[in-house]
Amino acid sequence: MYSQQLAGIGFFGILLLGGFLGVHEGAPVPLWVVRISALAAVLFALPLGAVWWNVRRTIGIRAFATSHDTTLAFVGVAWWSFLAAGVATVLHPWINEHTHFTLFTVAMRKLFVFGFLGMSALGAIHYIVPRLVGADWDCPKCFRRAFFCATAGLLLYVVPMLYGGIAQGGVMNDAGQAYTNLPATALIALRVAFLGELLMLLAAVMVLAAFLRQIAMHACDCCNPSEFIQMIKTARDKGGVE
Amino acid sequence: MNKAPHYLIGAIAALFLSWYGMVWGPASQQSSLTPHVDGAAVYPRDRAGLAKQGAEIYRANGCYHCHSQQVRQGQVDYYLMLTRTGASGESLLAAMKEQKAIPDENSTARAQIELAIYLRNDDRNATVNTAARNARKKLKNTEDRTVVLSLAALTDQATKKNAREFLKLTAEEAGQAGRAAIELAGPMNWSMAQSKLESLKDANASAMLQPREPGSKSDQALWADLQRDWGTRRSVARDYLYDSPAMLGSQRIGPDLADIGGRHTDAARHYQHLYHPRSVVKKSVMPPYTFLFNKRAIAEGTPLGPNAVTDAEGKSIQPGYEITPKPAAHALVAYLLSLRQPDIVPEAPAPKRMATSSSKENPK
Repeated sequence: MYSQQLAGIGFFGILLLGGFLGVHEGAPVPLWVVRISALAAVLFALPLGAVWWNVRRTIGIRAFATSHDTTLAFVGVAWWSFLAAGVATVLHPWINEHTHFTLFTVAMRKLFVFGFLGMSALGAIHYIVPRLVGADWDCPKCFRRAFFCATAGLLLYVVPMLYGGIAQGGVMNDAGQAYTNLPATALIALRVAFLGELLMLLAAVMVLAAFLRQIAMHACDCCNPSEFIQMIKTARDKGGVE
Repeated sequence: MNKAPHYLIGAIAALFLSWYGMVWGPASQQSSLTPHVDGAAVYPRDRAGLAKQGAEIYRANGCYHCHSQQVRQGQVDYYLMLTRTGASGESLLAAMKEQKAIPDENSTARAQIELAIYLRNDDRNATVNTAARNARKKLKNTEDRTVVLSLAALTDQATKKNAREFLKLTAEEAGQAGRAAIELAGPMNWSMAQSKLESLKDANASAMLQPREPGSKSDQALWADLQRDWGTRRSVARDYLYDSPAMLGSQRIGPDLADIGGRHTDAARHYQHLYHPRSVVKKSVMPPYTFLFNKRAIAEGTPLGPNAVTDAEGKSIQPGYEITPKPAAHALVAYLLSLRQPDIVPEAPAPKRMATSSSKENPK
């Protein structure tokens, strides 16, 4: 790793500031709560920058983009999701009066939960499981396909929702526009986002299937169907089992 | 070197700090909140039986997914308003001059203030009388003159009658005079307005601060809620004193409901809207909550029961059937009617709003 200190700043900075983030302008709380939250959001640029610089100096900027390794591909998407969600967090005090109460916040949550957390978890599963069970993935292509599904799904979900959220905010904050226009503006975004969700579901099912298959085939003898049948056959040949 | 304990302690300290700042701090500040008592009015009150059940229906049906219950409002400009001239006219004029909060020499407002001072003052000489008559000429209509009575706030019946006659008002016109206020200075920020207010109070006059929507467009986004008539003022913590849990909502697929009981007081409209949203709001995307109603086929011409849900013309909401609310619908409507945020909390006075040209287009 490039710098232990930078990692520390990132870790403790996010831990400390994370709890203060996200209070929107005009919330029914004392004004200082809104202001301190805005301050924390601006300060959030520090740990975000620290993590970004550390990762950049450790693996280089092009490593994710040029890698053919599936684990790194997952982690690369997670990394960009983290950065995008982080930048939106820093910008929150300036944009929240237009984005709060809209699909924008939903998209941001998805970007963080699925884009960052989910994709890193999938990458971790891809890396750890073969080492745990002691055998390479039976179907490496399944993972590659799952990766493309998940990434396409994430993009199909987040991009239209961000756009729909901003459009929604425009209608919400313009009292001259009829309120019933608000859901209508977001409708196309929601439809596309639903396709995105289906793709993400598909990716999750593919990974689950590959994972279960790997466990069944390699984790233990008695749960591998082919080995199990072989075992029974051998036993019957010896005349031991009815 | 094993750094794990340091990291653990650091992590716990960081989490403690954010808990202290965002949970304990606001909670300890707001824990002393009590209902606001203003004469006979107490706000907020705990919900009564049916409305309380309605809150559970609202929660169970996930209404908070699409409706928020918090009205936003931008920052306001403050204006200093004079409501009573008080006993000592001289000191009031002096204080107003000192604070640069005095209307122009030839303005109607200045004439009204001077007349109010004159009417309260027993010591009258010829010069003062002439000045008062000149001031009276500047008041063009009855409304202008009733304001003077309100400012002077005379208590003695005889003096009152004299004043009324001097202002050439009939007893009826004088009786209709409500509380009036005259703008002295603004726009300014709260602390500056507050110091001016204090100095007028020292001069024995009564004045108030009136928050107003700023004319500039910089802050317009947060004003949209009030412009849509979703409330008369911003929501504050006190509004949710008896809500458990407070269903603030985070998405606005439908309109804000913080003051729904204030803007739609008619229960029949709520029943109609719940059963068939598009019969009330044309392009509504709200799902119909028909399962909260009983449906009974009736012959044509059969009179509807007293509880039947009807449209605006008094016909059944669904021809050929009598639709009556189930207890859950009664409870939900009672809850909706109980959602009110009246303009009586001192921490959030209702700002005077700028007129919007296109507010008519909004279905409320």
